[in-house]
Formats: sequence, C-alpha cells, structure tokens
Amino acid sequence: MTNTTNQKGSFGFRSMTSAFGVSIIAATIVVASAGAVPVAHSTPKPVVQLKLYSAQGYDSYVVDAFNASQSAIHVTLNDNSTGTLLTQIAAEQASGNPVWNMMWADGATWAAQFDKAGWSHKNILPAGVNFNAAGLQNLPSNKSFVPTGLTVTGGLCYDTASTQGVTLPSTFAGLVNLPQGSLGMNNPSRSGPTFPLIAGQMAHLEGLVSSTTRSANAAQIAAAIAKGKNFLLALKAKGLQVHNTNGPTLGALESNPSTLSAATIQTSACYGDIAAGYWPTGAVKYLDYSVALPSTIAVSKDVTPAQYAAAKTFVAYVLSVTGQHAMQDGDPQGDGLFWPVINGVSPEAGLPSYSETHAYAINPYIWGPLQNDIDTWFTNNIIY
Amino acid sequence: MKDSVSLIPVLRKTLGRVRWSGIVLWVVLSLLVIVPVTIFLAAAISPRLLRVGPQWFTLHSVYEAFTGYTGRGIINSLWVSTTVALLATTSATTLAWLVTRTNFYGGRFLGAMMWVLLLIPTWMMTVGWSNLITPGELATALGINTTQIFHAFYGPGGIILILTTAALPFCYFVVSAGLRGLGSEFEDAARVHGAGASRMLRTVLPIVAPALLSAFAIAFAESISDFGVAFTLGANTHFPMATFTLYNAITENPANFSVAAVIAGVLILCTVPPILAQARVTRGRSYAVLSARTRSVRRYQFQPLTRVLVSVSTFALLTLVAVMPMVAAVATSFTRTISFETRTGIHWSTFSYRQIFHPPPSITSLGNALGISNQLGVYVATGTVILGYVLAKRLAATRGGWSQRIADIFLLGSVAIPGVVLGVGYILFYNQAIIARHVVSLYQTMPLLIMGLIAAAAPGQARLLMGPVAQIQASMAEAARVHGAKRFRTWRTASLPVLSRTLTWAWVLTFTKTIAELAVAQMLLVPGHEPVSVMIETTLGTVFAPIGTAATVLVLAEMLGVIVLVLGLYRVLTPKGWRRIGEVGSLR
Amino acid sequence: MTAEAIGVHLHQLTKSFGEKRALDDVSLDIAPGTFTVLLGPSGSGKTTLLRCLAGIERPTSGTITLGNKTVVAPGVFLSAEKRQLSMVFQDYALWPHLSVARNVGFALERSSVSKEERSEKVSTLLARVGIEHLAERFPNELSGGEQQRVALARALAADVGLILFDEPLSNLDADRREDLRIAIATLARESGATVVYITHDQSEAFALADAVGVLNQGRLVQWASPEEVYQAPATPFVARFTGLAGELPVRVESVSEGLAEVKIQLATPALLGSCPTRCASGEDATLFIRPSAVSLEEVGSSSTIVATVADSAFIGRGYEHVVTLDGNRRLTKIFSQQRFPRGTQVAVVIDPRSVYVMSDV
Repeated sequence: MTNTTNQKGSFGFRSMTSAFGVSIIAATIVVASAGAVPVAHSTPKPVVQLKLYSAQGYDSYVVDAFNASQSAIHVTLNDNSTGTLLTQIAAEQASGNPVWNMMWADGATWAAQFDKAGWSHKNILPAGVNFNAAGLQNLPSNKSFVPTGLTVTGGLCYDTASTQGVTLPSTFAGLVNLPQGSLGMNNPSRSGPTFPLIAGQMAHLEGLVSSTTRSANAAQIAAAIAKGKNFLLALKAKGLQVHNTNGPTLGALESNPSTLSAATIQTSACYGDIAAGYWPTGAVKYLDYSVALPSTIAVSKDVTPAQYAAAKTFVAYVLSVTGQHAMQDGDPQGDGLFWPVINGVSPEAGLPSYSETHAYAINPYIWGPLQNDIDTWFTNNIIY
Repeated sequence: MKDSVSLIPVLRKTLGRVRWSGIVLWVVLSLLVIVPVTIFLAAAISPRLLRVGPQWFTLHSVYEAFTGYTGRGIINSLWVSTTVALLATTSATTLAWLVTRTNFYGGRFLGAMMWVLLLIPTWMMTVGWSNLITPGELATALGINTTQIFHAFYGPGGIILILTTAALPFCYFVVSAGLRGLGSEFEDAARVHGAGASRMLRTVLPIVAPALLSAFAIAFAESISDFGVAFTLGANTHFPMATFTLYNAITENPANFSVAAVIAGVLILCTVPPILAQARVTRGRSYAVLSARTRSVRRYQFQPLTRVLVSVSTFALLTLVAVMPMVAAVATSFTRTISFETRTGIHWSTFSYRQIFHPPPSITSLGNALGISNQLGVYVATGTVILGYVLAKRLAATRGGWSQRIADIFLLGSVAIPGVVLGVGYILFYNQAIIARHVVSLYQTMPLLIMGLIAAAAPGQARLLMGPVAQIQASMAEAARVHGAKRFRTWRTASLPVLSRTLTWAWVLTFTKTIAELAVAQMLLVPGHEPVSVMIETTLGTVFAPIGTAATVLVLAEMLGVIVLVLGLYRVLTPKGWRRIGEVGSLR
Repeated sequence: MTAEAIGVHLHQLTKSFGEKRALDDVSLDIAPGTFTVLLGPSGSGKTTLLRCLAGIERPTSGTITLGNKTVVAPGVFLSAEKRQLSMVFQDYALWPHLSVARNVGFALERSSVSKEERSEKVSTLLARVGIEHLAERFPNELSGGEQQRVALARALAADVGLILFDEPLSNLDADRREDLRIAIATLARESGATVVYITHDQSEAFALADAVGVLNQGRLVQWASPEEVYQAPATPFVARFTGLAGELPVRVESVSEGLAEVKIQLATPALLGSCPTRCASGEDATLFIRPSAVSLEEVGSSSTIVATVADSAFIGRGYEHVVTLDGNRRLTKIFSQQRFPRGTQVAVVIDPRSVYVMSDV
C-alpha cells in the first residue's frame, strides 16, 4: 500500500519536473528564435532577394560591392566550404524545396552535374559580356553556367634553395626524372583543384586537348585513363608524396628541412604564399601544359522570373571590369590571384600572362562523372 | 445512453493516466532527432522518397555500401572503434585505479587534465599533432626526426591515437565513478580467501563491469561517429573510415544519399551490441545498491621511488599525447610561416594574431564569429542541460525492462549519429515544401541551428548525467514532500543542490563543445552568421592557415576563460552547502 | 574439522595513518583454538587490528606471528592471500555477480578438491548455516541475515586455522542477530579454528568469547576472560564500556582486603565497593555501579539510600527502572520483579561485589 502511494507520488513529481523541463526547452528555442534570428534588412519594397552559395575567398567583398552598386537586388551570402555547399544543395533538391538561387565555386564539374541533374537554369549568360579566348573555352554551349575567372593547376611550384643543382623538367613527362621523393601533389579526395589536374593529365596523354577532341568517345576515354594511371604509378615509383591540400603541400616545400622540393599543384596557392611573404624562396615554373580551373557560377532552375533576371544582372556584374576588379581586391593574396575571363582586365602583378601557362580546358561533362572512380583508384594505388 | 454517460469518466481516467510529460518529451525528441534522422535513413532503401532515385524500394545501396571502398570503410571503422574503445577503457581504468586506489601523486591535477582533454575537439587535436610532428614543425625544430612517426601517424595509428585521447576522459569519469562507488571489501574478501592478484582481478572486475562496459560503449560510439579525425587523417591514406566514405558519398557529384544512409544506419546500429552486453552483465541487478554502504578504501602503497616513477611517467605520457600537440599549435601560431621552421629560420611574429582582428577581406573577423558562437553556446548549453537532465531522470527512474533499454539504445545510438547526417536530415525534413511553406520556415535560421546543435549534444550529456541523477535518493524528494514542500521547492531543495555542480559542468562542457562543433554548424549555417568553427575550418584550408591556427589558440583560450568564469561564479553564487553536497554527486 | 588451529601473536603492533595512531603498541597472545573477541567503541582501533591480522593493512611497526609463521616483521609482510585465513565482513562483501554456491565455493577453487567434492562440501556447508535452498540465488536476492550466513559459510569453507569476524552482526536486526550469533558460536567452534572477532557490543562479546580484549584509542586496555572483564574492569573506560547502572562521586573512608568503604553525599551510612585497581583512603574517587548490583525495596527497610522512580519499563520477565538519587544523578537499568510506579520513593540496595571504586583521572 505504502509503496503504491509512494510510487504514485514520485511519478507525479517526476512527470511534473519533466513537463517543466520540456517547457523550458521549448521556451529556450522560442527565446532563441526571437533573440537570435537575423534581423531582416529594412530594404525598399521591390527589391529582389537572391541567395548566393559561395566558397570563394572574395565572395563577401564582391557581394557587398554589388549590393552597393544598385538598389533593386539584394544578394545574401552563404559562405561555406564547397563540399558543404554542394551537400546543402543536394539535400535541398532532395527535400523538394531548393532555396539556393546561385552557386559560385571553383571547378566546372559540379556545374556540369547540376546541369545534367536538371537543377540549374540554362542560358544564364547576360548579353554584352566581352569574354576573352580563355573565357570562351570554358563556357558550355547551353550556358547553364559561366566561368568567372581562371586559375591553373599543374604548374610546378618549387623551392629555389632546395632545387639548387637540380635540372627542373620542362615537360610533364619529365617529372619522373626529378630526384627520388622530391615531388609532391595533393589528394584529389580532399583538394578540389586536384581532380581536374589528374583528368587533364589523362586527357593530354591521349591527345584530347583541342576543342574538337574535347568530346571524346568511350574508347578514347578508357585509353586516356589507362595512360594517366600508368603515369601516376611511374611518379609513385619515384616517391611521389601526396598531401591533403595546398596548405600541407606548401608547408612541406617551405619547411626546414624540407621534405619536398617541387610540387604540381594549383599555382595561385604558390603565388599567394610568395606574395604573403611566407615563402621567400618560392618560385613557379610552367611545363608543356597545365589545366585550366575555372571558377563558375550556376543559377537554380527554381528561381522566379524576377530572380532569374536579377541573377543575370549579378553575373553581368561579375563579368564586368568592375566585377573582375572586385574579385581581385576581395582576396588579393588568395582567390584573387586569377586570370580574368574578359578582355580589358589584367591579372594581379606577379602572375605571368595566361598564354605562358599553356593551360587548356577539360570537358566537365565527360570528366565530372568519372571523378569518384578515379579518386578511389588514386586513394588505393597512389597514396602511400 | 447509460453506457455513453459512464464513458466520460472512463475516458477522463484513461486520459489522466497518459503521461503527458512523456508525450511532450517524445515529441521534442522526434522533432530534434528521430524524424530528421529517420528521413535521412529512409534513403537507404527508398531513394524515390527523397527524389534521389527512381525506386520506391531497393536493396542496391545496401549491397553497394558493404562492398568495395565503402565496405572497407565500415570494416575499418568497426575495428578501429573497437580498438579505441578497448584502449581507452583500459587506460582510463588504469588511471582511475592509480588515482582512487593508490598513493599516486597528483590525482586532482590528473582530473583537471581530463577535463581539459574533454574540451579539445578531435580536429583541433589533429591540427596540433600535425603542427608537432610534420617534418619542419616543432619536433623538427627541437631536433627530433619525425619522418617515421609522421608516416605512421597518417593511417590507423594516428587515428587510433587521437580517438583514444579523445575518448579517454569520458571513460575516465565513468570508470572512476564506478571505482569510487566500490569499496575495497570485495578485493579484501577475495584476497583473504586466498585469491592471488590475477584471480582477485578476475573476481572484482565483473563487479565494475557495468562501468567498464558503459565506458566502452561511450568510447565506441564517440569513435565510430567521429568525423574530424577520419576526415583529416584517414583521407590521406588508403585507409577509409566509414564517416569519411559517408561524407564522400554525401558530397560527391552527384550526391549518393542512399549509400550514405546505409553507412549511417550501420554506424547507429553498431552501438546496440555494447549496450546489450552491458544489459546482459547487469542482468537487471543494481550493483550501486550493494556498494552504497562501503566504507574506507585502502590505497595501494607504492614504494617512494616507484611512486615518483609511476606518477612522473603517467604525467609525461599524458603531456606527450595531450599537451604537446597544443603547445605545438600555440608555437606555430606565433610564426609568420606555414611551417614552424623554415630555411631562413623560425620567424617569431604576432602577425597572425594581428590579422585575426584586422583580417584580409576574405576572412570573417574573429570577433564577429566568436560573438555568434558564444551566443549559440549559451542557448545550446542551456537547452541541452535541461533536455539532458530530463532524459537522464527518465532513464534513471525506469529500472530495468525494455523501455529503459530502448531509451538507452536510442541515446547511445544518437551519440553515434554523425553531425553531417543530422545536418542533412534537418535540411531534408525542415526544408520539405509542405513544412517550409505552410508550417514554419526554419532552414538557415538560428532556431534550427540551435535545435540541431542541441540534438547533437543532448544524448551524450544525458548519458553523462545519468550516473549523478541516479544517485539522488528518491527518499530525499519524498522527505521534502512529506514536510510540505511543493513540487518546485522539492526540486529546488532536494535535487538542485545535489546536482548543481554536475549541471554546471555539463553546461560548461556543452558550451565549449558547441563552440568547437563543425559538422552541424556548417550544414545549418545561417548566411551572414558564421560561427567561429566554420570560420577556422575555412581559413585552415587556405594560404591563411596560420591565421586559422592563431584563431584556434584564441578560441581554446576563450573556452578555458569561460570555464574559469562559470566555475568562479558558481563558487561565489551558490551556498556553501551546495558545493559540499555537489562534490558527492558530481561527475568528478 | 580438519583445520589445525593456530596461535596468534602480536608484538608491539603500531599502525599510524598520518598523524593519527590507530594502533598503539599492542601486544597479544591468542591461544590456538580459542574464540577471542576484541571489544571497543568505534575508532578504538579494533578494525585496524583485524585488518592488520588479515593482511589488508600493513602495520607501521611491530610483529605478527600466525602459528609458527611470522607474517609481519621489519622487512617482512605476507600479503592477505598467503596467510591461510578467512574472514567475515561487516558488509558481507559477497561478490554480486556470483551465485551463493560460487561465493561459498570460492576458497575451495584454489585447492585440489575435485568438482564433485567441492559441490558436496558447499551443499553441506550451506545446510549447516541453514540456507541450502538458496544455493543458486544471487546475493542481491537475499536478506541481510541470509547474506551474512553465506559469508559465514564462505569463511568456514576455507578450512583454515584462523577465522576473522569484522562486526558480522552489526547490520542485522535484533532477531536475526541472535540466531546468527548462535550459529557463529557453534559452527566456528566446531571448525576448531582460532577465531578473532571484533564488535562494539559488550553483550555479544561476553556471549561469544573465551577471552576478551578491550581496546581504547588504539591501546589494549584489558585482556582477560569475559567474567574477569566484567567483575574486575581494569580501567574506568572498561567499566563504562561493559555496562553500568550509573556512577557516583565518593570519598574513600578506609580500605581493607580489596574492599573500600566509601561515602556518598546522600547516604548517611557508608557503602562498600571492590577495588579492582588501587584504592587509598582519604581520596576522592568514583563509584562504578553495575546494574546487577542494584536492587530496589520499599522505603523503610534496611537501606537508607532513598531515591525517586523516574521510569519503569515492562520488559517481560519483570521491570527495568530508572531512579533519581538527587535530582540529577540517575541509576538506570535496575531490574526488579516488582513494579515501582513512577514518582514513588524507593530504597536502593547496593551489592558491593558489583560496585567498583576507581579514581577517574
């Protein structure tokens, strides 16, 4: 009897505490939403809102400059890493309610996949863009994305002190002649610019480099992959070191004692370190070819007509002289170290002319879908 | 007619019996964890449901996940987590034994060290290690050739090392609480009846087995769901871990949510066996009751020289695995270069620190990011402590039986949910058109981010709080009620004083963990409100890595500052009696 | 049974915990096969002494010899498991994960006894302590008394020459305590082993012991037969700890043949009391009165000490009274077949054989 009463009593007590606790959680969430929700910008009525997902270093600077340049459109920025942004978009698409309006990141393979999946809007190129040759080379025919700048991956970054007495190769094939263990590169599973480099190597070895052979057949692709793998294995036999990303690879080049004397990576990272004063003995050499890495913008298929027009206005801004300068000024030692895609804008001081890089563009529609397989092969066979 | 009249009281009685608080709690849990995660997991067998494939039902992704690269990831994760859990439990038991049962020097200091270790997120630890042993970094500058260690580190060795250091404090607190509850009579009885050291151990270990298995289960769940280490160390070797292949499957182009869902499901299910093992060992019996009236504890007396040697070597080892990486991170943050020592020497500089507050345009100022993170930390810690307490109370109140086991499995399973899965699940659920357009649009707002962070933190906290909450004797609450106290006063007088210290620690711990949390923070980021962990992660991947390292150091300093502040306030604000009682029921 | 009882010899045993001396220079010789009870209040050092004997605690100095084996001496310390003894703990210390049978069989597992023999022995022992039906239960399914019976069976199973008991009855209620005390007294004696038993309960000590050692503040203050401890307490502490009706301040008038004639304030005639230690005439002293020394009579008979009944309690075979001598001095636990109601005047008669005169300094 007593027991029953006790249990009942404590049960009541317990449930009340729980209810109390639960209501506090609810209250916390409510208070949090009241106190922490970003205050809506008090903007005039007809403003078109655009959500830009971007992983570019200069994005906030460019967005601020764009918002200040006109009053009809307001761009808000989701500044995150490329992988996170792509996941967010994939999840939004899967939820049936995509909220992204524009995506801006390095590389074109993601944009090609968006196009294939039917997520992005075609014909987003505004009228009057004065593309240069390199820009045009990276523009897809259906204009489902546009290049906004170019960097180059596959140049040779090296340390002048630790390569004293070493004859640096002048071709990619010559990389195998470097001293044992002195060459490094990045891991394509971790470093965005590295898969395009590997794909570019493969394509080049099979001769798929001119604009006419960019659309290759399956046999050509298979042959290119086989040759590329053999080349990477040959580099591995010469002690190729693989680091996660540009940072650790550069660290290995710059440290004392250095564990690397040269690396084939995205050259803008090398320029960045040299310009920032981190690496006084750093230098960059271009070989017989390198791979162009465009930064690209895509626009969601689910935007309203007004947003579509606004997005084209934003793209037009980015592809204007003012916009390209804003990109340079927004991250002068990082992503700002790019080659412009329009005529009339020079790259930052310290960058050679684009033609010196011998860069060529790969076809993202062909190579994008191959990335997972090639990355996995690389992980299993090349990484130590 | 007559029947329908008598139906009303019956109905009222039935409704009165329904545990409304329980329903509210399960609704909260459903919204926080169950529904978003279940929706994500559904993709494993029903891609069509999530518009990621044509089939309503298929087992293809299950097959895919268990073969090839992803299959190896699952196997690697399983054996690595098992190894980590074993190592962490063994080391924690050894440390706990040294502190509670021998004349070991510096027990309190060791406890403090465990707390510090608990605060350091695995990614920070990884940054520290690479600042220490990468050739050209601190160890090189100290004249140590680390090439071999460096290569061994990038692979299972490094992963196991970091995960073990990360799991160690959890295990230490659980096991030392168990050892404290256990008097030395059981050992004495065994020895008096002729058991030698090994037989004595075999006799007494099963008595602490629930604590050991609990430690094992927590270490296992934390390790198998850890993403920071798998991402940084596993990716650079042909040693895939499940969390990494899961992340790859999510971020690859096109995203493979179905395979990711299978892997996530496997990770969550993996936590079931340790719990069942624990339940089997306990077999419904509570050892705590038996050990409640234990008296003096006899400490093993090391000879003076052995005592010094054991103490010094323990601290040396802990310093090596926990302090040195942090020292390396701090040292590196005071140079201008990516490597600690360059060909032109070591360039000491406060450049990176100055840059934090006057950053280049591409980097968010640390001040803003910390502000956001602190704000998040306060809300999330408060919400988590309350929810964790309520959960712990339920778990401690229901003795034995299936309901407790299910709740237990749910909690530990939730610990094993990788943050990225929670984040994606949140987008999949809260961004559904029907919810976002017709109910409430929470995606990319602070409330949803706060909910996500609470969901990530609460299960672990609830499990940590369970021990102290279970210690509160029901009779204390009953005594308060018998003497006329109302419900709140009962809680205030009987429970709060006993738990105040524990709850304070849980709050501080959640606060710091929230500041360091990355996966949920990235996925549910509110545009324009970058928390500090996202800012650091973005910076570490660029040429501004030294700024990221400097920011890491400042954030760690801020965390310690908050701990000192909160504990200082606790000392000042609480009655003396609370603090004294608190020591009994606390995690320490 | 088969065990060879061993003698226990302690010599100048001291154990300090930091500043505090828990055991202070204790020497003791316990004859083989005897039942010794160490009696003392909490903090007297009895538990420490027992734990030193068991090998759980390492003494600071002194020697311990068990049989012909020196187990503690300078540079010598034989650990518990090598001492060939067994022990019953205050908190039972049954291993919660082992069944009753396995708990009891624990000590047998080390010997070369076959499995069948072992289980037979376990059943026999369980039957002897009266819990054979509980063999397959787990400790948490048993009552306190049953648990302590398991612990007793476990201690007996070891078949050793020395069994230690650490306040085995203190966690039990009164009925169980009596039953188990009898079980311990008979079974432990039957086993033939030497027994060292500690308690803070004097009646338990007197009921069980062949010899009693009284400990106070780490020192052994008396070591004698139960009768001697009761009838000739060595110190006021022993007298008090072994049960008094009350104490009265007195002045010693004269001493002869171990008896002192003393005067108390209230009584006109002098009283007699024994002198277990030393009495000197003319000194102030204290009269220690055992309950058995006091009887009550109607006022007007032989005695001239008159008191007021403060309380009378029916205890079945008669009444226990509390009387007040002069407003604040009380004598308690005074037995009488007859009931004297509260508030009545009674004459107090005191038997000098159970009254001790000692100077209480």
